[in-house]
Amino acid sequence: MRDILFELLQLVVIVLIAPLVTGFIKKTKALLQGRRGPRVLQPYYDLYKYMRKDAVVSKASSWIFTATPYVVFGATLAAAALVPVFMRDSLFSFTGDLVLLVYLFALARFFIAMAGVDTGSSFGAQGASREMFVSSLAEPALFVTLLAAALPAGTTHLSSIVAHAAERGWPTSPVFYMMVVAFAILVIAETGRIPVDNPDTHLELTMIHEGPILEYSGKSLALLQWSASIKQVLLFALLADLCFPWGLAASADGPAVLAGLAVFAVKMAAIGVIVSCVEMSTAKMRLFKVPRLLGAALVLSLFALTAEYLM
Amino acid sequence: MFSGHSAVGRRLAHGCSALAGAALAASGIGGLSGGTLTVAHIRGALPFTDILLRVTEFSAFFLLVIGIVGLAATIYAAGYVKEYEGRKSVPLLQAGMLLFIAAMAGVVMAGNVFTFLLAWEVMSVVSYFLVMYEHERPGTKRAGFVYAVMTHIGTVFLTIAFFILRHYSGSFEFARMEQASLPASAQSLVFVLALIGFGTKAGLVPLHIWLPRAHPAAPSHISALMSGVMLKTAVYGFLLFTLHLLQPGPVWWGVAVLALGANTALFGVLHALGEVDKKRMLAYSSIENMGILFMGIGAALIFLAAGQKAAAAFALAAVLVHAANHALFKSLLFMGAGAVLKAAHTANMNRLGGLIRRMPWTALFMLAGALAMAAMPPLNGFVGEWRLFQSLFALGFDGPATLLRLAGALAVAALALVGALAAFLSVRLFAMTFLALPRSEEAREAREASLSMRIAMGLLAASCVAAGVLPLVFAGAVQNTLERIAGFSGASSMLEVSPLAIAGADSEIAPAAAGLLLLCGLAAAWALARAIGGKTRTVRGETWNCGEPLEPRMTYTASGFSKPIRVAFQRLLLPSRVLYVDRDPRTPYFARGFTYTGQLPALVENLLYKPAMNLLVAGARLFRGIQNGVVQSYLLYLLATLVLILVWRIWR
Repeated sequence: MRDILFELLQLVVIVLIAPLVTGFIKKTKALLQGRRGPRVLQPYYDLYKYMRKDAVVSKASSWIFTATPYVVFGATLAAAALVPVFMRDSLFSFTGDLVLLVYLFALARFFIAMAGVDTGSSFGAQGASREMFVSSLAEPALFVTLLAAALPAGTTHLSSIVAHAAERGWPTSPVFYMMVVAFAILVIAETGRIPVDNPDTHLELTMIHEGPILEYSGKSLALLQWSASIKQVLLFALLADLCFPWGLAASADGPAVLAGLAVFAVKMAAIGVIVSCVEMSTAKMRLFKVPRLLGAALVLSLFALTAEYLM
Repeated sequence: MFSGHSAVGRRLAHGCSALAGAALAASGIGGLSGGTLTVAHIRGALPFTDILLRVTEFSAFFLLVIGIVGLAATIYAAGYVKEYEGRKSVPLLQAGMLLFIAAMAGVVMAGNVFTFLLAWEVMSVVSYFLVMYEHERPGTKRAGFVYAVMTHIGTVFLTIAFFILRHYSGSFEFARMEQASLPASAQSLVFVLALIGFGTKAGLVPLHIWLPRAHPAAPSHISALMSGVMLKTAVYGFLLFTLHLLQPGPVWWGVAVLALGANTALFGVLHALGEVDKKRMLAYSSIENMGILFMGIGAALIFLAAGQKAAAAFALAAVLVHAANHALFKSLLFMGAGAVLKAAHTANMNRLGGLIRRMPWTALFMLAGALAMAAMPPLNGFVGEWRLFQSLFALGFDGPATLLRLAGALAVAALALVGALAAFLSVRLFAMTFLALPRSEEAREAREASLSMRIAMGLLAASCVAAGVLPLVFAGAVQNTLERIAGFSGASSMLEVSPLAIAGADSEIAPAAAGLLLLCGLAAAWALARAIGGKTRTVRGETWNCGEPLEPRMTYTASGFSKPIRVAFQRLLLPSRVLYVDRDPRTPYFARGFTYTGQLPALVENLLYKPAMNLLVAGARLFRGIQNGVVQSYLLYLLATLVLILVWRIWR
């Protein structure tokens, strides 16, 4: 019972702090660029405001457009129930693994892409096409990296991987760092950040993810943006889980969980700062150069795997 | 029975067809529970052999799939054939469909070589006639011809393989062939022959060239049967050979099948993304799925060669489950495509769009099919895909050798790429047909499909959901099937590994829980939005289009939607693109219109089949001089041959 309560708490924490991480990255980026930037809590105010606004829905759209935000939020929430964040077990660790997690994200993407086409707007369909394109190329690299990460534990079960890796101690082999770099590239691609996508614009030259959600307003927009923030936290947490799985509470007791929470906060802040630095120092890539970046991630993780097999 | 043109007679005929399908499904379920059941044994049907039909657990699984899809197809036909009434012979089509279903059932029930080949040929020939049903349409005759040629080349290889087995076992019966032991070289020869023979039927690249032609040319419910079920008989046959009739072989069997499968899957999905004709696109997607199935078989063969029976059983379970799931969702999608074709008179997705308002039910069922094809949880496609991923991960984790593990990792990458591209494909299929605005007059005036078609599609859509949420229903059937397969019988302890267990962890995947979780998430989203934001209004407005009214021709087309793939894979696909600009003669700056045509060249045909054909024709030309039509010279040949033989005899 106590376990379930703490695991539920984990889910709630993910959902609640997600906008904070978005705000934190925006603020860090602004500071690095010498601007004051919006408040760290600004995403919360935005969400609240969107939630209270009336919505305008295109006449050309169908029920797919209306249903999408709820499906996306539902799928993201389901994914959030699978990822261990500050303790080793998650609410649904008894029934899910990495493959299910990836496919839950894919389900959300599937509906976003369809909603993008549904309005009849070329922006939406173009963004949808790009979104499916980039994710198609990211997927093979993602799965090979997951295989490399899961190899020592010999399972795709997340909690088992985390538990196994936490007991292994600090890895010293360069192979491990190849995997970390590959995974970091993929996290950037999946969260829609520079250099793959620019989260701050929907200009047709640069946008990927912002295109399909252009027509949304009101509650629907709030749910979609919230889902995007949650997905970002989950991917960051996954990066931390697979690469730096230390400090997660092994059991459900108060002090361990508190310590786990503190470590989690530090990890999120560290990843947030790194992401801001990457966004600061690189330019958005041309769409057809993205395959090279993702190809590099694939090759890196294949190298890591080969080395792991040979050693 | 079909001759009466009265409505009552027609209904009766349709009802009887549906009953036959239902009976087939029921016999499949019945067969799963018990041991071998001999259905018919006609001794001395021919001077040298018997006709033997029997149901084993192995064939019962496939019989069940044939029955379910057959049932749906017969129901669907009741509405769909109205299209042909008055201009075509509907009774012939119906009789052909029933014979086709019966022949497929015969293939999986055959107990000896003769029965198998008889059923196999009837299946091929009947489906050839069904493909040729609309022979007056351009391209159909060509499609039928290529299909007939390829399928017979395949049968030749199968016949040789059977005769080699006959040589060593001394019997034409499968039950006796199983016990024969072959020398290693003969085993491998039979394996290669079976791979080519069944690979032709399964559409493995480069033996696939008939598939994207023949499947779309047939009436839609026949396409559904061909793609959904007939391809599975190839899987059945290949499994019959590799697991039943042959002893476990060397590792390279598995590696060859894995590589061939991965190649086929990638080829299929990339070409599917290049097609704008919906039925051709679905046919290419069938090639992709057959590739995925053969990847699974390859992994299983590698495990078998290394003696890792539990892992092999797991991979085979993945293959069987995915085969059944593919049968369900692909036949659903073909039926949906048929409904759209009937309503809008075009299968070209560039001329469709916005049909969700005109055909809400068809759209809903097609959405289920598209989600299943994209392997989205909690639909059935995910269950099969998940198991295949687990099998390939297992190959990567503890494959028998380092190189094989690396092969496993590459296979994981290939399957992931194919899976993601299949999701792209599914979005394209659904969104370009049903969403946005209709891009042609026909699409604007489309009508919802008739009741019987909706019932058939609804049945399949419900099966897709049920097989996704409750995969253990299938798992039981798979378990029985695996126990039947040689090499696994007697070792039932390893089958206690649940087919849904996550390797290396003591937990299982439960798609039902995932589905429930999704529903909770949906409810939570609604509740959160309501609790935080309170009640708000929704206003209907125009789509923002830079201040201009939105017109159908401004909306994205299927060609444009998959353009990034054609660009990124241009080295592989070599797409051609012709843009014709109709310029105003008075000013060079404004164009009056654009005509764009783009297509993917048929690389395999151009690089492999055309040179082979040219070689054949050139060779024939060499010998043409001999056949000059003069009787005297033919007599001279005879004399010369006789003399040569005599000389040879004396020499010896």
